Amino acid sequence: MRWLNYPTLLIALFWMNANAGSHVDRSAVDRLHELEKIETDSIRSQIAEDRRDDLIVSSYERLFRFDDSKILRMSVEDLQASFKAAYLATFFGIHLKHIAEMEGYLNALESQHAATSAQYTRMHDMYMAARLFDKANKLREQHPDLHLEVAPLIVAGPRDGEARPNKLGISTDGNTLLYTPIDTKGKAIVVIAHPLCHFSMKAIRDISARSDLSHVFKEAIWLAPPGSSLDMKQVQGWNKSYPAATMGFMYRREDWPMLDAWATPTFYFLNNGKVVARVQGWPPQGGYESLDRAINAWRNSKD
Amino acid sequence: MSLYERKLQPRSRYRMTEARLSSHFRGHPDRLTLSAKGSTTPSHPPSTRKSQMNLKYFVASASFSVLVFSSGLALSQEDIAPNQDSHARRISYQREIDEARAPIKSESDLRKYLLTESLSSPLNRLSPDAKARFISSLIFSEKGLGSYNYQSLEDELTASQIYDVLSLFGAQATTHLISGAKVESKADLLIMQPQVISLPCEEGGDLPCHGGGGDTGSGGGEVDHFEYSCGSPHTCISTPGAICMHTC
Repeated sequence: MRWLNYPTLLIALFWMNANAGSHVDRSAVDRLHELEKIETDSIRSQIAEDRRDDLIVSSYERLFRFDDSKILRMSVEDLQASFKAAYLATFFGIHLKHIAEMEGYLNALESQHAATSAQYTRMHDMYMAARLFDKANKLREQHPDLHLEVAPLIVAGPRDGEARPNKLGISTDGNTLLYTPIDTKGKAIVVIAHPLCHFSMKAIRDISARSDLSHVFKEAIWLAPPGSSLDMKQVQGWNKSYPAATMGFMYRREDWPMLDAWATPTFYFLNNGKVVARVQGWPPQGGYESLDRAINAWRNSKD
Repeated sequence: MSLYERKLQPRSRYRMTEARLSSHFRGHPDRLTLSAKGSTTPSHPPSTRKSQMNLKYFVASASFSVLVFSSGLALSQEDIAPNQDSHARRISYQREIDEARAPIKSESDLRKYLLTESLSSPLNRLSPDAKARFISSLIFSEKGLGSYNYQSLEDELTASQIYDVLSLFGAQATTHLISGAKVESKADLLIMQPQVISLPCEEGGDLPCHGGGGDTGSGGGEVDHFEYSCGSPHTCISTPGAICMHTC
C-alpha cells in the first residue's frame, strides 16, 4: 500500500468531491438541497457578488447536467427540483442557456399536468431579467390569472450582437423604454440604486439636499439593477421626485462589463470606462470620508 | 370593493410604510379632542367674585376658540392629505407595534427562543429541514429582523401559519407578499390582501410613490424589497426567495 501516500489521498478526495454532485443515484431533490445550501452559505458569508454568482452557476452545472433526452422520463418531483435549480442558476447568472433549461423542465411538467403558478411566475421573472420581453408578455397572456408584470416595448433597441453600455429610459406613459447607448469616454459616475431599497432612498435624499454632492452627481447615470421585476411605477415615482437623477434600466448586465456588483446602492466612479473607485451602501461603507476619497481619486485620475 | 375583486388586483411586491410617530402626533385631531374635553370641564368650583368669573369666561372662550380653530385646521389637513396617506400611516403604526411586541428581535433572542420553544411553536409546523433552512436565512439588524427567505414557508404552510411564524419576528405584515402561500380559509384570504392596495403613484397622481423629497409624509423610503436580502454595509442584495425588510 505504498502508493497510498498523502498527495494521492488528497487527489482522490478532490476527485470524489468534484464528482459527488454528478452521481446519478442522487435524487434531484438531494442535489437541490446541496445547491440551496451553497447559495445560503454564500449569502451569509457575504463573499463578493461576482464570486457568489460564479459559485452558484458552476455548482448548478456540476449538480444538474441538462439532458434533453432524459427529461421526459423524469419524475414530477425531480422535474420540480431541477426547475428550481435552473431558476437559481438563472437568477444569479442570467444566461440564456439556463433559461432554455428552465423552459425544458417547465414543458415537461406541463406535459405531466404538474406545472404550478409559482413556476410560471418564476419563468416570467427570468424572462424579465434577461429582457426577453416578448416571451414574458406571451406567458402573461397565457396566464392572465397570475397578474404578471407587463413587459414594456423597447424602442431603438440594440442591433443583434451589439453590447455596449446603455440606459433604457422610461417614456412618460411608462409603456416604452428608449434604448440609449452611453459613451463612457472621459469621466462618468454610475449609480446602481432602486426605489424599493431604503438605503438608495436615503442616498438620493442626502445627495439632493447637499449642494456639494448634488454638484458631483449632476451628470451621474442612475440605473436599477437587472432583476426579475422592473417595478416601473416605483421607478417612475423616483423620477418624478428626483428629475435631476432620473433612473433607468440597463438592457443586459453584460453591457456594463466594468461593473461587478449590483447591490443597491453602489457608486462607480469611471474614467474612460475603467472603474477608478467604488463605494457601496448609504451611509457609505467606511463613512462619508471614503466617499470623499473616492470622489477625489476620480477627479484626480488621469485620462 | 369586494374581497374577491381585491384579490384580482395585480400582485404587489412591496410594502410601503410611513413617517415617524412623533411627527404624526403634532396636530392630531384625537389629541385635540382630548384637550378640548379637559379645558371645557371646570376643575374648580365656580367663584362668586365677578372679576374671577370674567377671567374664567374669557380664558374658557379663548381656549374654546383656539381649539375649534386648530381642530378645524387639523381636520382640513386630513382632508388635504390623501386617504392613501392616512391609510399608509395606520399601517406604519401597526407595523411599529408588531415589531415592538415581537418576541424575537435579535440572534440572541432567537437562540433563547429555540432553546425553550414548545412543540406548539409556529416554527414547528415546518418540517425539520424547512425549519432549518428558514432559520439559517434570517438576518438581523439593530432594528430587528432585516431579511428572511420565504421559500420554506411558501412551500409548506398556509397564509395563517406563515403569519404566525412571522409574528415571532414582528414581520407578519409582509405575509401577503408571499404570493404562493396556500389559501385554505377566510383568515388566509384576509391575510393575503395587500394592505396598501393602491399607492398614489399607481394612480398616476401628483404625489411620488414614497420618499418624495423626504417631506411629503408618504413614506420616506421605508419599504420592503421583494427578492432582495439585507446586505452589508447598508445595501440591499438581489436574493431569490428573500424579502429585505424596511428594518434592514
